[in-house]
Amino acid sequence: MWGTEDLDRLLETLGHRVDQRRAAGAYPADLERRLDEHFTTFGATSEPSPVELVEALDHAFAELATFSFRPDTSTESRIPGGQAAHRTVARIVGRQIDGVAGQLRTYSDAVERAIGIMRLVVESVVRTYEQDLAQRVDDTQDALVEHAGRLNAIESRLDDLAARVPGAPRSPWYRSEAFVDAFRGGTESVRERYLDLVELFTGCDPVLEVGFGRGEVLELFGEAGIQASGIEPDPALVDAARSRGLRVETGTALEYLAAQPDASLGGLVMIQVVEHLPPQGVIDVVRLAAEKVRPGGRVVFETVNPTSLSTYANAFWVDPDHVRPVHPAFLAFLFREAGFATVERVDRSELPADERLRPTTGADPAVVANFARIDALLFGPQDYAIVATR
Amino acid sequence: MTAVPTATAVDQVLVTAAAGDAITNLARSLRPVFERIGPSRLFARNVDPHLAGEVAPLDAYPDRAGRRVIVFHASIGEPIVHRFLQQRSEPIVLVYHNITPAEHFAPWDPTFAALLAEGREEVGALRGRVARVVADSPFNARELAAMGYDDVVVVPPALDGRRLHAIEPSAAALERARAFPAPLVLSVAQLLPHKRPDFLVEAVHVARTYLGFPGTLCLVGHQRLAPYRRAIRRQISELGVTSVDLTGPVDDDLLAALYRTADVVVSASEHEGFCLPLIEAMSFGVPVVARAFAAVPETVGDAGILLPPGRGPAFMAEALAELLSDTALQEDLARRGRDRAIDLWGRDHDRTLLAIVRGVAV
Repeated sequence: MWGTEDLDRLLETLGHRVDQRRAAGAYPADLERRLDEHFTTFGATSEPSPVELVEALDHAFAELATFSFRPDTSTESRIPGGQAAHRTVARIVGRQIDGVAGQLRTYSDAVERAIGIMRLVVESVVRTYEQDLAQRVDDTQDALVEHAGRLNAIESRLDDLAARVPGAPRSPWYRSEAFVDAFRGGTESVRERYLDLVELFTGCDPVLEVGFGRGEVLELFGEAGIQASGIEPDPALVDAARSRGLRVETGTALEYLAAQPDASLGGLVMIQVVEHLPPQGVIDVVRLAAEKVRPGGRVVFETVNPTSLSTYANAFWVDPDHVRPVHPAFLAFLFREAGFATVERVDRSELPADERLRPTTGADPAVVANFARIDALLFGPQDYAIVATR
Repeated sequence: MTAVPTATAVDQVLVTAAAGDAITNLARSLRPVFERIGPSRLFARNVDPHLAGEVAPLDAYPDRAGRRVIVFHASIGEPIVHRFLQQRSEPIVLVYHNITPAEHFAPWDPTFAALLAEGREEVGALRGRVARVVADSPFNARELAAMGYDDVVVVPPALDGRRLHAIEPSAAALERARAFPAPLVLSVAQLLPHKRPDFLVEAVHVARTYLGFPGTLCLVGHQRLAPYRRAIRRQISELGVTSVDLTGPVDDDLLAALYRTADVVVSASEHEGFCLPLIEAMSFGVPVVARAFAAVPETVGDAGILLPPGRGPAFMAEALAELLSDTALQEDLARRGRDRAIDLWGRDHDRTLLAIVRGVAV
């Protein structure tokens, strides 16, 4: 049996033996030094060989060949029950496109790497004049051209896709405020139009207004002594409202509502908002309203009335952010299905008499009736609201 | 809807995740352990394409702070990872695997050498952000203490002894291992400067030329540093040491076959935070001859032949010749090696680490 002392003695013996051999001339006296020097001369100066370069290039191409695009949508949420809402939001804002763009960048980096190695290969081939390597370079160059073509095709498909996603964020160069001023009427007329809606929320504090625009309705709430706050996706509108002392935040309907505790709102009002959402967003936002507004609370959604043909053909399409009109029957259906206690459709923004068909008098009663029906179909109320109690 | 308290997520962060890398493998094996606390994911700045499904790029780390603990495996510097760790608010458990001193790499890869040098500074600079710190050897713990860390817990690495032992090598692997002219001297280490494969080549050159050594040196391990690999190839060819096989990376099947076939496992490494292959060798009853640098003496103990750091390749050649001619010594070292390996396996790495991370998570 060996012990630790034996190992120590062994090391000692080995040391003596090396010294003896060296003294006896069995090794060259400076063997180890010469071996060290020999290795040190190689240093890092040695160039990669053409074969190694081509190996590296093959590797780079293998990486490209295995590259595949995947839908990349974050659906993580720390909010209880927020997963579904997140998925919806992700769909709506077209994050897939960002994901694909990221992957596209990775792919394009890989192509760039391959091109970099390619250059080294060419230089190396020029140095060595190797016939077969030159052939391989030709082959890989062909492959590179093919990959570049693929990249272009993907890029144009991506552009296509981006243009087709409804509700995808656009980048208007004009100010949102300017748009609102041009098409939504003066502040005073807006205040007049919504005074009656505001009164519906008496006793329903706190009220959230999604999409407050210039904030006229929030001001009406304040004047009526109803505690209200608002969200808007456009930071410029938020800043403007905040500077007027309103309680506002930047946010979008689905994301913001999903983050609120259940039954935490007394009222929710969305004026001219749902037509900005894709169909799934409309469906989800009613569900969220049912979750976040406490029983007895009030919800009002006002939107463009597509059953009035003049409005549908005309006003609806002024705003490029409108996705599609929401039919009153469908919206009412959603509210009922979501379990609201009362659901009522209210006509709003009747056209003044001089903008409608002039009433016929003294004619055949059938003609009068038909005329009235045509008038209602063409020049019905421009908006409608669903007024619901939770 | 009722609010369900969310479990704390445990995210392991590495600079580089590469197939066959010991630290990557450790992190992968820890994932199911940390999943006992909550969701556990792996993130790395550089991700080997082979691991893309398992390790997420650090860019994909969730923006929003949440209930998370970051377990950071430190083994090299990387400014982007360091900035990431400094900017996050999650508590960090630092697992220090040691960082190779930069001077080994300076002649071969100055960029990498710079990262190594930065790595040490970064570990020091991270002190204010670190909730708990773990070292995998007393050697590493001493380095951390020198950087100003106190309360360092030493947790030896997870030694999954069952993994390689459970493998019954395939006939093809055994055939390949046995085809090398015996005796088989095995080195399991990445082909990198601080591992000193050049020293091993020289030792085998001396043993062969002057001591009549008839066997083979197998250099098993990844060869990621191209200029260094070229230099070793050139050294082997210019010295005419036909008995060195630059085996490169191997799968577990061949590795198990090589351990079962090897007559001795050697290490010339001048820097090791632990040196797992030596434990693997001892567990297979293969005698170990290693140079006594860094954590190697702590790992081997008195279960192998430790060569004094000042002695050169001729000394290692003598040691190999002596060991291979003395069956009593071989048997004795084999027995001690097995005992030593079992001792180290007995320590429950995973459970200790789990307790530390859980302590930070609550």
